[in-house]
Order: sequence, then structure tokens, then C-alpha cells
Amino acid sequence: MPRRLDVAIDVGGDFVDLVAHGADQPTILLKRPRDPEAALGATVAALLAQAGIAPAEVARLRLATTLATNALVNGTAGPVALVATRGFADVPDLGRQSKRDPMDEAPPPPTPHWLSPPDLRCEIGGRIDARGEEVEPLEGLDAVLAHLARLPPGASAAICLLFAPLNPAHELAVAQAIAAARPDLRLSLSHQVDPGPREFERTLATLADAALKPLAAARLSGLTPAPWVLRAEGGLAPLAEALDHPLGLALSGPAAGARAVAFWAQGENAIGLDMGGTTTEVSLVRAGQPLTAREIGLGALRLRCPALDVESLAMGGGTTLALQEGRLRFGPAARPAGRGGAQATLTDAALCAGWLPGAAPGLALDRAAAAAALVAALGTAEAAPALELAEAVIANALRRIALRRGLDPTRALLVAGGGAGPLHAAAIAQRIGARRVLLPPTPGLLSAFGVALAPAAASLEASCDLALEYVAQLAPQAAAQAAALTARLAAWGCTARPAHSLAMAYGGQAETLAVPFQPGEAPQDLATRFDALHAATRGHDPGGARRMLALRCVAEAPLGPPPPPPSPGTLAHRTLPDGTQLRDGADATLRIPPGWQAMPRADGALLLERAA
Amino acid sequence: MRIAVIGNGIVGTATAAWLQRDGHQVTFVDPLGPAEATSFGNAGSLSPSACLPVGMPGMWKKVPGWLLDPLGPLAVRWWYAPVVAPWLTRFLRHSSREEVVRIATALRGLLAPIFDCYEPLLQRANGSGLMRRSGCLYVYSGPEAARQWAWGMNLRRSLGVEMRDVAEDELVALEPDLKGRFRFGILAPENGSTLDPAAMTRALFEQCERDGAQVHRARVTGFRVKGGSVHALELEGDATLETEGVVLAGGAWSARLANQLGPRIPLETQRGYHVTVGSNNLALRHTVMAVEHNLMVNPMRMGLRLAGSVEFAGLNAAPDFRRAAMLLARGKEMFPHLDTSVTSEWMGHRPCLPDSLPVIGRAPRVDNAWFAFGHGHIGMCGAASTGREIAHLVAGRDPEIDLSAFAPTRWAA
Repeated sequence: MPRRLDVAIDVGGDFVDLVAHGADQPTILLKRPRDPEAALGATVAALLAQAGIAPAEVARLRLATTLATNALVNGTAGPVALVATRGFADVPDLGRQSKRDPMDEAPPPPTPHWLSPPDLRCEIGGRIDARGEEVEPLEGLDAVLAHLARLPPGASAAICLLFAPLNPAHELAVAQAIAAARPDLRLSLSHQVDPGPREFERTLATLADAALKPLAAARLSGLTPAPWVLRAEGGLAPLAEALDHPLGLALSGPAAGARAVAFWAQGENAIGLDMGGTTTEVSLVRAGQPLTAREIGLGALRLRCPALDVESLAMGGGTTLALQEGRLRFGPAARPAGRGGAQATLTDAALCAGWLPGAAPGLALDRAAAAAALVAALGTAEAAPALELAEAVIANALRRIALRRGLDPTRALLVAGGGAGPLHAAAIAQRIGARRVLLPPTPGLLSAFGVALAPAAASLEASCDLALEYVAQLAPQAAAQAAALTARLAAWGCTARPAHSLAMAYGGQAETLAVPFQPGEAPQDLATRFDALHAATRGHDPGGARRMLALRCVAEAPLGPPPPPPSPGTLAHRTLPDGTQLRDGADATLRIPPGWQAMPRADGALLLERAA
Repeated sequence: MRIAVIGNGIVGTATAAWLQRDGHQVTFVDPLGPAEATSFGNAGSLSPSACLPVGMPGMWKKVPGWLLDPLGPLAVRWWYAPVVAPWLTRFLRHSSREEVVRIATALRGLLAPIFDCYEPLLQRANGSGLMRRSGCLYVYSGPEAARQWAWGMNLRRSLGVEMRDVAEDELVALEPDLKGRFRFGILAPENGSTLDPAAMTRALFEQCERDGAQVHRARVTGFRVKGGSVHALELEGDATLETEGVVLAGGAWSARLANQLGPRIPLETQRGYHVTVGSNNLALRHTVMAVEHNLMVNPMRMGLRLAGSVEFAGLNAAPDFRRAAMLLARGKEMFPHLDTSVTSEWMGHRPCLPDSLPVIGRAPRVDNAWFAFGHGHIGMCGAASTGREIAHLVAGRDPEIDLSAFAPTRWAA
């Protein structure tokens, strides 16, 4: 009988990682550099071949991919046609008009120019008011159809009409007319993509969703078996579902990392440090649960989309070093790392400091070339200052990110993963005042392990605007959401556990917090829970009128048995003259600075503790 | 439609940009380059709050002082007094409380959508970095002094302008440079400003050119009218320029041309001055309006600009740069630690109507000419919304703003 394997693959910027497990089978782990030129299908096929897995042995394929992230950051998706309510076609340009630096003469545009070119926008008459009632009937459909007639086949269009989340009748009518006239166009409707208030945020999310549709369909179809794809919310969805709402594919890799960090945190408060070749992903875990966010940040672009709370820093092993006016500066990541050349990278510095072994599987490391690159860039082969500065920069960001969410970095567990995370984690922990660091077994495969762990998940959201006293009115809607999601997951072959939450705010606040809730709960209990959450997150609970602005339901279901914790394998021990201990694994090197003690945990993870 | 836009200051340029969005073919006609006149050196404020007229209740009491103090915040040169007297009489007539409320209501309509009207144009021109929305601080020596202006501030609030009282300690926290001299402020958080009004005008102008606008460097002397429509412009040196429509946005130089197409419009120029301190060593983040000093302070990219003062002396008299020196002296009073080793001075011509309202609307005697001038102290503020409304009028759409108070015919009766 052939093996039946559950295969999880994380396609990152620099590496592709694989975790495959099956009943009575040893878990297969693999990390390989990624060929940036290769198509996704070829990459997956090559990785399976290298792991010795025949296509027929793949019972389930799970995938996290940087496809959507790269397309949105680099502007290789789109452009998208926009149908807006009359007078609102400029919404993408108007944005929020808040510049981070008022003296910045070249601020990023609120909507990237490639995403929504002005000549692809058109307006349509008709109005829904703030209560969801029709004020003016839809008018001017013919002009919209004429405008869209010049789009190439298979292009995408976003339909964003005023107050559509409260009453989608006009959006649906426009979509129906467009689908009849141009069945080839891919449409994204704002009330389906992002049913929340505020025009600009909803429009931007809908534009991004539409931009990803043709691209995701072209790149992800054709894989066999059809993969389950990890979405920003940290749950897997069947490919067809994911292609219908591709915005969720953005940040799929980082969400996988956050899932794994939450798993290893084992119920504690934790900060996840996932340091790869290009970026460092910081995720947060409160009491074993990953924190969630309402928007995802991709460079200057901030998109509203339910997601696990992950912030990305432009600092990774491939980050380049340069001297500018006598000061050390970090530049965007360059590849390949550790092979010398004109640009010195952080990996070169780590190699010169003796932190990395002379050879690593799948990665060519050349200490002499690295030293030459360092001397060319910095005028010295002394690597310590660059490494310390990089750690200080990450530590500062980590402290800021944790404190903003009301998480005390000095008491949290720092869970480190990624190829470079275990190398820097203890030093970073020392800088933020954390006393404990957890290094999972095979830390370099943290995200792939997160993909293997992730449940199937789907969610629904409905906006409302009600005082908390009227929470009972939402019960029928909550029940309907739960029923719809249970049915949807049943169609995927899963048994769902729906969980409800309310987006709540004090009267006059614009930003909401997600409060877990069960239909039938008393308003007083919810008020207490919201106050406590507000105090934990924002440091105070002013009290007063409380409002509910959205009702959410998330349904999760385990997808097959979880993978057994990977065995750490044998690590080669080295010690530097200053007492630093190094342990080289197949996927990453762990660095234990003097003053730290390492203790293996029962699940194979290594717990580092700082001596008091 | 082929439309000639007379004037390539900020109003003409923004109007042309809005017209191009409707697909019109625009030709600029102006003897000077973009932003070489009034749009060059203004205070650069973009203030939805700037809806009060110049003539406020009780102003008549100050008229003798204007004539006696040539360096006061408002001055009339003695030889110009007979010329400007009828205009000033009208100006004072518009300063009653009822008139001020009416005027402020109309101006607020024009100024509320400032950023909505500029941002699409600037995004297209890749110039949105020249505009910032960092708030304006109105500052006073103390809360008692602020009470003198409370009626006007409350009028602004009643029209929907967000204004927040700022006590001394918060004022110092917002702008440490103001410490000591000012003990009370009012923050208008919605206000913005430009880092360089000339660069902003040029950025929009250059985008108009990239979008197909043509440029004719000549002074317009008159119109050729046939069958109730302008069909050509008469230019200096007996040349003509065929056109299907005209927008007159000539700022302070519009009166003579406007009077050929309708009843006489009482356009006067209030000459304003600036000093720009290139050696600025302050770290201001807001624009600052020192109400008692009558001085607008804007931290720009070329330095700290101190602007203000009103002088009546017509379009031709030489500048009196003692007025600029006076601005600098007041600036030093406000900021004793300001480094003033590098400064430049400038004088410009605000186009002013007695009621402080611009002229926006169709020319009375023809069906294809539109007026967009007379923006007084708020040309940068009102240019983009004026442009949007003119484009609506040209296209035959309903305006989004109530334009009745800006009618070119309002002095006809």
C-alpha cells in the first residue's frame, strides 16, 4: 500500500520549506533555496521530488505562498477597473490625507497608481442612504457597460458603491448586468470583500482583491492535488474558495508562522520572531491564542482584511550593509546571501563572526568571500557592530509592537524561528528585557510547520451600528452566520466549530476591538469583557456608552490529524572564545550567548533562560 | 470644447486641470509663466477655516489709523486714498454682523472641500507631497486677548469648522518654539498648507501640459463676440486666438476684461508682503496665525515664511519693502531665537472684492465665458474647489456648492 502523506509547503521569498507526515510514517522535513524564476507548479513538483515523495502519495497538499504579497508589493497585479457611485471616483486618490511625515515631499499615494488608473474608473448614478434605504434608483448602467467594453478579456473590475454593506442591491444589480454583457470579466463586490464602514478602506480592499483574481487563478490552478491554501486569518481554504476571495492570500506565509508560534507558546503570552532571508515577521500571542488584526500592512499599503496580527520588518539575513557618511545603514535585501560579492549582507557578517558553520545544506557559504564583501562595504571585517545594530533595530521594533498591543515584552516568551531567528533571538530578548526564549525543533521550518498545523477555516462578517443593550437583536443573524459557515465547511468535508465575536467600541471611538461572545449573553457580561479587553489593549477603560459595529463568525475545523512535533535531530555543538555556544542544525544555527542556559522541553523545543 | 483659460496662477491652473478631466482641450493665455505673480509668494495656507471676510464688524473705527500709519497691518497710501475711497465705503458696508454671517456661510461652502478638490489633481501630478494637513494654530498673548476675536471664532464653529481651545501648557507641547510669548491658542486640526505654493502651482501646470494643454504667452486685450458667444481672444500686438470658450482667471488683472463681458465689477488689489527666512532654525509643525500681530507663519521647504499685511496702492506703484521689514520685526518678536541671517522679500497683488467673495459664474453678456477671479486672501485655499465648480458650469451640470453669493452680477443693481 502506498504512503498517504499530508504535505505542507511554504513558498517564501528565498526558500521553500516542506513538512510531510502520515500515519506510521516518519515526518519528512526539507528546506531548499527557491529558484525565483521557476513557476509555482514547477517549484512544488521539484521540492516533492527532492523529498522523495511521488505525486500519487500526496493525500493532501497545503500551501502558503508569497504570491499575493509579492504581486501587491511589486505592483505586478492589476490594473483594475472601478465602478463607483457618482461623485466618488476620486476616493482611491483622496485616501485619508494623513501623512506620516508632513514634510515628506514624496509620500506614497493612498492607492498605488498601477492598481487603479483614473481612466479605468467610472461612476454610476443611484444612491443608498446610511440606513440602507434606496434614495435614488440605479441609473447609467449603459454608460458603465460602454466604459468596461474596452477592457481586455479576463481583466478584473471592482464595484464599490456607497453603503453597499447595508444594502447590496445596487452592487448586485451592477454585477449582474456586467456579468451578462462581459462574462469574461472577474468582479469583486465591496460588500462581499470587506463589508465594513468607510469608503476608502473598503474601496482599496476591493481593488486589491480584484487585482489578485486573474493572477491567483493563473498561478495556482493546475497543481495536483488542488491545494488547500492558507489565508491571512490563519486558516486553510480549498483552492476554489481562496480564488473567489484572493485578498485573503496576502500574508499567507506570515500567518503560518503566527500559527506555529501560538502552538509552541503552549498557552502563554508570546512574541514570535520569524526572521527569514528578506524580512522579519513579528507575531503576538496572548494566552496561547494568536492576536488578530483588522488590516494587513504591505510596505506603504495598508489593506483592510481580517488577519492574524503580524508586522513585517525589512530586516533579514539578506539585508545589505553599507556605510553612509560614516554611519552604518541597512539596505533592501539582496540575494544570494553568504556568497560574497559587491554587497555585504547580515548573513555575511554572521559568517565572519564565526556564528555560522562553514557549510549548510542547500546553501553555499564561503567565509573568505563574506569577509571580502564586508571589507568592501564597511572597510573592516569586524562584524560585531553590524550584527549588534541589526539586533537593536529589531529589538526596538519588537518592543514597540508588543507594547502597542498591551503585551509586556519583559514577561513574554520569545519564540524564534526562520533561518536567522535562532541566531539572534537571545540577544534580542536581552535587549527587550525578556528572560525566556523558545527555540522550536527545526526552527527554520517554523512556517511550514504552521501550515501543517493550520485548521480549515472560514468567516463571515456583517456590519451593524447598535448600542450594546440591543445585543439580543443580533441573535438571529449570528445563528444564520453559524449555519451558513457550518454548511460551507461541511461541503469541504469538515465539521465546524463556529465562534462569534463582536466588533465593539465606546461611543465616539472609530477603532473597534473584537470581543468574543455567545448568542444569548447578557449585555452586562459583554460590557465587562469589553472593558477588560480595552484596559488590557489600550491601558484604560473609560466606561460609558458601548456600541457594536460588526458581528463576526469564524468557523474552524481540524484538517486531518496534527503532525507529530518534529525531532530536533542531532545538532553539532561549537563554542566561541567568548563563551557563546552554537548549535548547528540542518535548517538553522542556534546561538546561546554567555549568561543563558538551554534546557530541552519535552516536546523537543529548547528553552533558553537568562541567569538572574 | 476648446477652452482658453486666461491666467496660469493657481486658480487658472486648477480650473484647467478640472476642465481636462471632462475632456476639454485647454489653452493657457498669460504673459507670465505659471505662479510668477500672486501665486508665487503667498502664505501657502490651505484653510477650510479661512471663511471670515476681511471686513469684520467694528472695523470702521480703525479707518483713520490706516491713513496715518503707513506701516500698520492695513494701510492706504495717501495719494491712492481718493481712488480707493468708493471701494472702501462698499467694503465697510459689508462688515455688518448680518453681512459677515452671510459671507462666511458662502465662503465656508467653497472652502470645506479644499482637500477633496486638490488631492485628485495632485495625485495625478505626482505632487501630493507639496500639500500637508498638519493643522493651524491661532495663537494669542492670553485667553483675554482671544476673547476679542471670539465672535468670529464662534461663527466659524457654527459653520462646522473644528476648532479646539489649547491652554498654555499644551500649546508649548504642540509647538515648543511658541514658549513664553503666547499663552493661549486655538487649534484648527483640519487645516493644511503647502510646502511651496509656486511649486504646487507649477506641478499642476506641468501635468496640464502633459495632458495636452497648450500655452500662449501673451496678454489678452479683448474679446471678439458674435451671436452672444466669444469666438476669439484679441491679444497684444493685434493677434487673435480662436476659441470655443473662455475662463477668465486673471487674478488682480481681471477687471478690465471682465467689464467687457458684463456690468462693472469693483475689483481692487490689496498688496501683500512676505519675508521668507531661509536660515529658519525653528521646528514648527503647524502653520501659526498670530492674530494680534496679523501675521501668518508657515514652515515651508525653502524656509519660514512670514506673510500678511494689506496695502492699498494699486497695481503699478513700487513695493514698499519697509512693510516686509515690519513683518520680520514682528516675527522676531514672536520667535526671539529665530535665525534671520538669510531672508528674502516679496510683494504680490491679491485680487479683492469689497465683500471678500470671489467672482465665480458665467459672464453675464455671453454664453461661453466664465469668471473665476477675485479670491482675495484665499486664492490658494479656494482655487481647486473653484475649478471643480467651473467645470460643472461649463459641462452644464449642477454645481456642488451654492454659487449664488459669488455671482458676477451682484453689483449690477
